[in-house]
Amino acid sequence: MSLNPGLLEALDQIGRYRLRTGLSVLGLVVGIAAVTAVVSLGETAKAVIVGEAEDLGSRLLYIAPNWDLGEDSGDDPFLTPADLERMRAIVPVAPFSWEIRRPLVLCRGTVSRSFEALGVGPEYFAIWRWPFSSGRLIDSRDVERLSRVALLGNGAALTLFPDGSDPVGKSVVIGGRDFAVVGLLAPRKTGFMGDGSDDLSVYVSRPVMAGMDGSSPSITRIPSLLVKVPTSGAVERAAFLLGRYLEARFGSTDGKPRFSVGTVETSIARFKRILSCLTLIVALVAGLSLAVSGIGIMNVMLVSVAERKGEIGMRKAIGARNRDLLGQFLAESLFICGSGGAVGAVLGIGLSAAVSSFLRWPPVFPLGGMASGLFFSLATAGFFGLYPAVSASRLAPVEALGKGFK
Amino acid sequence: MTRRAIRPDHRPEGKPAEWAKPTPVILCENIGKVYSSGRIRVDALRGVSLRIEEGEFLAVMGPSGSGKSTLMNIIGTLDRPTSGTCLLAGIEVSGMDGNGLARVRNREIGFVFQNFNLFPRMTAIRNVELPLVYAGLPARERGLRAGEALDRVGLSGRALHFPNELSGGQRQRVAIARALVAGPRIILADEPTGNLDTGAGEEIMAIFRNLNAGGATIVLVTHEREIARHASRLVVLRDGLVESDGPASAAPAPAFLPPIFPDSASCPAAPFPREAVRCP
Repeated sequence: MSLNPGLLEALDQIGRYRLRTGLSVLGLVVGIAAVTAVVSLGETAKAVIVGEAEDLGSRLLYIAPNWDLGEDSGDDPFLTPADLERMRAIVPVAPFSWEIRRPLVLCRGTVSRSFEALGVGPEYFAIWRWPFSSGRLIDSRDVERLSRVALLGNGAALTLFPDGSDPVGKSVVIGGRDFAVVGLLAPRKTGFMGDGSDDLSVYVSRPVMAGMDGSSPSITRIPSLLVKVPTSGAVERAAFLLGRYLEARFGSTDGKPRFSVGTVETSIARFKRILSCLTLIVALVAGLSLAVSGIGIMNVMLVSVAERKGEIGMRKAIGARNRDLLGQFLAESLFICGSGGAVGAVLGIGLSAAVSSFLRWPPVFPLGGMASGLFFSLATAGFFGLYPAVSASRLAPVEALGKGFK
Repeated sequence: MTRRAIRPDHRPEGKPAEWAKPTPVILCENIGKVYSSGRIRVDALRGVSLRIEEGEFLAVMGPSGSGKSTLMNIIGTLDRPTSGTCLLAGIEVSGMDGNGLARVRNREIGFVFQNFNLFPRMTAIRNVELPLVYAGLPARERGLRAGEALDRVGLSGRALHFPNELSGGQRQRVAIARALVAGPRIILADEPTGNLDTGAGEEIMAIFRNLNAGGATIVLVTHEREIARHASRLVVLRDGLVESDGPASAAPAPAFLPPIFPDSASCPAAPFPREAVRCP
């Protein structure tokens, strides 16, 4: 026996009740599209996160008031320059960076727009290593001399210089004062770890930024710190030592330090946890819709078995074995669900591609998403098609024939 | 199991059973069938014994409810008797499992029904091929044999027609081709002319007589005496019991067979191809 004869017959019967079959498959198409899209987007998101983590290196420490404690913003603890000195002593070679963020209006000629301005020191660029396309970065002399120099993000430069000319050496007005543009950053893609507006940011030196606020240029409140540990092997030890210092200095609430040390890995892990949680929820909903559509398909198959009793009886009369009929009806539901699943998988991939391109993520071919879509549709077919197929194969021939032939 | 080719010219005049003493092709002993649903109990058959030799043409008659269809279903292994045993071609079928019975139905029995029971979405030739599909024959072989079978009922020109494109008589001839395509020993026909006009009915009966002349054992259930007269033996059932069993009174002379299909000269003489199908 080369091929189950049922397989050959199954395709023949599918065209018989096109509308009914199509409607029952619609639920499956939606369910599979959802599963495929969720799995594909999850894969893409993870790939993007891992890529960014590799970009940053895993040597970053982020020192900030502990979010988990949910303190009021009013009495958030802060670091002082003295803390900074002591912590520098704990991790000597590492650059420490902190920034002041403020929205400021930039003007050039008739163009004026609000951008996020960051007051930073040279260590900021040592940590983030943004690629720049022309000019220079803000250096320590700018900080010492309180020079009014600015570095433009690519998006900000394009807004202020719409003709695309090189802004380096030109002057712009930031917060009502003249600044000389010294550098231009290369365009960057949006990612998870940045806030999505880095391309539109403007960088000035930190003391100048503090001075624009009206307060003294000497900085006394440091809300958070970034530290880049020189080698990845030293990350854990540095995090431990700094954490011990911070706990001794600021104390802890309910066993959690009020000022905590996080690594890029912990924030990636946190993000991945959130992502898996979301994926799970959506997958559950998609699974529910699969189950619902599976019940619909089971219903259609049972009706089909009941309507085709005569056919089943006649097949038995000419020598079909139970397994031939089991194969035929199972093949029928597998084919229905397989084609529904294929349509759903294509829709899901299209959906995830659309979302990816909207978020400007790199295109990832979601092989896993497609495979899981097809797998789940066939599993649905197998699970919900089995009972109708078994009941068809077990019909007593005389009983089936007694129903007459259609 | 070896199959002997039985040809009309090998058979002497008189009773074949006494001449060869072969194993009867159908041997039913004391068959009883009880249908019961709830408190209602119906005795469809109450001890029917029947011995049918190879090559016989038997008509079963009886009023409705006499149990003739039940008997045919039991002989055809579509139904199981409540009591008694049934041997088909020497094989005890009462104790067989589903696969064994399917094999018997596939190789040993051909069914013809009143409603033709053709598959409406298949062409004539695909309908005829179907038993060979279940027998596991390769496609080329199936096509050849199905073509031969259609030729034998004079419908080779209609091979690619769908059942709804054929007349009632033509449909029944396709059904007969399907019944004989696997070369079964027994052909069971349940009211095969019930849905046909007299002319088409006569055509169908001529084919049965032809097949019988080629060696096939035929059991025909009917309630029309006109139809039963084509058979050589008549069994009358009443209330689940055999009322009479003897030669069909008005059976025609076996020597005279009118040409059924004047355009197909080979058809009436074609022997029943006993060895035609050797299924794996």
